Amino acid sequence: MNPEVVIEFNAVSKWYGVVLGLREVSLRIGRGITGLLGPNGAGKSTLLKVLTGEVSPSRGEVKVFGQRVPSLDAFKRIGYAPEIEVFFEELTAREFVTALAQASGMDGATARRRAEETLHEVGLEKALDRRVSTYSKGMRQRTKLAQALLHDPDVVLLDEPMTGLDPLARAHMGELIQKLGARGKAVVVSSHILDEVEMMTSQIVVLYKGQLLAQGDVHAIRAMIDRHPHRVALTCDAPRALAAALVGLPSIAALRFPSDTTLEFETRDPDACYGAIPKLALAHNVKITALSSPDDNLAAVFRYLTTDPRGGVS
Amino acid sequence: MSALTVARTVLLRASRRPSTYVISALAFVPALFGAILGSQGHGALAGGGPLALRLVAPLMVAAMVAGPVGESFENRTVVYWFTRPFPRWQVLAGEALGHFAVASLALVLAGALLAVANALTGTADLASLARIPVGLVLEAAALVGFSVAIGALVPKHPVLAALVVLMLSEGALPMVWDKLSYLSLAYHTSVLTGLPFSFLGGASDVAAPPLAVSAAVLLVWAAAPLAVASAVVRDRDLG
Repeated sequence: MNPEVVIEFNAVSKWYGVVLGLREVSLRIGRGITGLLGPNGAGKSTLLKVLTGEVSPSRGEVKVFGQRVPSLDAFKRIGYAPEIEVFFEELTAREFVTALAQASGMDGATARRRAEETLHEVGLEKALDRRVSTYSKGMRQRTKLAQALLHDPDVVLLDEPMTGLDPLARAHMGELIQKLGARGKAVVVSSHILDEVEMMTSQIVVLYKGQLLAQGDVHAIRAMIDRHPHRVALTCDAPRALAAALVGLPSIAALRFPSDTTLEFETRDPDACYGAIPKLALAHNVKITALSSPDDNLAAVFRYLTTDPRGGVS
Repeated sequence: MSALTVARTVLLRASRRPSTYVISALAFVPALFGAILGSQGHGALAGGGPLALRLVAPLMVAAMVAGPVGESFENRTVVYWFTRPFPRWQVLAGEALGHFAVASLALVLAGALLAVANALTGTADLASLARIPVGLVLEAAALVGFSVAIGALVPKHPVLAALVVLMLSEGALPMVWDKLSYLSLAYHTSVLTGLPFSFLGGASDVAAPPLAVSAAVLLVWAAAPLAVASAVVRDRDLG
């Protein structure tokens, strides 16, 4: 059964004069959390702005639940927390969020109730009636999230939600985002903070200079990046003896000894190596205490894709 | 209706902004000027009237309205409205409604102070003074509609842009050719309020139009720029 496609980009390009914001981006995003990654200028914010109707695509079309964006019906299902850090500074968080709830079509009483609920949900229950101008960065980020969730949207777009947050606030924001994904919403999180994104999701979209470089599960993407052999690190009691056995395998590209008890090697066929290592260790009486793949993670994938983006993956 | 929500928010924000009250203090200037002239026998309205209509009102409203509206586009806070499920033109309509409430209060205050100055220094014509608030409210509507439109269309320098256009329509063009006064919103406000258009009460060479025509011109000043801005903003990229 095909997973539901919630967000659809069909060959979307966006120029700002002669500057290319997005180039022929086609992608499908379903429910759950998707990390939108890329260096500065990659097109992440442009992609979100096209999705929210802030900017129109120069070419191509964008759909949410099959409806072309922008449209008033699509806005009813989209909640958006932009990157901007400015609000209606003269208002309290309660007033700000209530006004936006009313603008979303709620009557006064419902708007006030929903505003209070979402502000509680993001942890601002003690600061509801303080003016936004007195808020810290973390409180502002949470206010932005609250206004994005007012109308219980099916699609939640978060542009750099972790910016300016301390570690505790980041952890709390990460938990909130994971709850949204668990509730079946399609959550797109644009971020530079790779380890936080990695904790929330393994589904990523990688942009570079306006182009889609990769989309999918981070581990599957890693497996497909052939030009960068996989690194594997082993901690054992006889690394040199194990290395002597491993060097006979055809897929081994390089070997290193970072310490007296650690062996690190590179291979283009990690599965074959994982199958061979236990047998070799037994045969040579080597005790292995740890095994890891230092670059089977988002940071490495991101680095490999964006430092040499000729081989995009999807 | 969402425009009303925007209007209420505009009103609440303006009431908490110190600049609203500082700018509104300009309302005292025509009365002070009028009182000085009145005490010298020229008549308070002769000096204060044109000052209020052609200088103070445009300055006050451009600063109070075009500035904040332009800022909301420049810093993108307007995105919070534009990503809600209602058309963008309703945001501009709401901005105009909310700012109209504030601006009309400020202009009526200016008119009331001028009337007091006139009463203290000369003959108080109560019947004609009753026309002043109505005329000033219509001038407020015209200036607000125009200023909201300028704020949306020229967000980087909205106050400057508004003042340049108003300097032309209210000052330079009528001085070049009398008949261009028919474009001036201050001229039509002077027709409605009975306040002099020319400084020191000099007679104008143009024939005064009927009151209904002047009221209609002011409404066009309010509506036409807003319609243009709504059409432009509907499809314009925000950043």
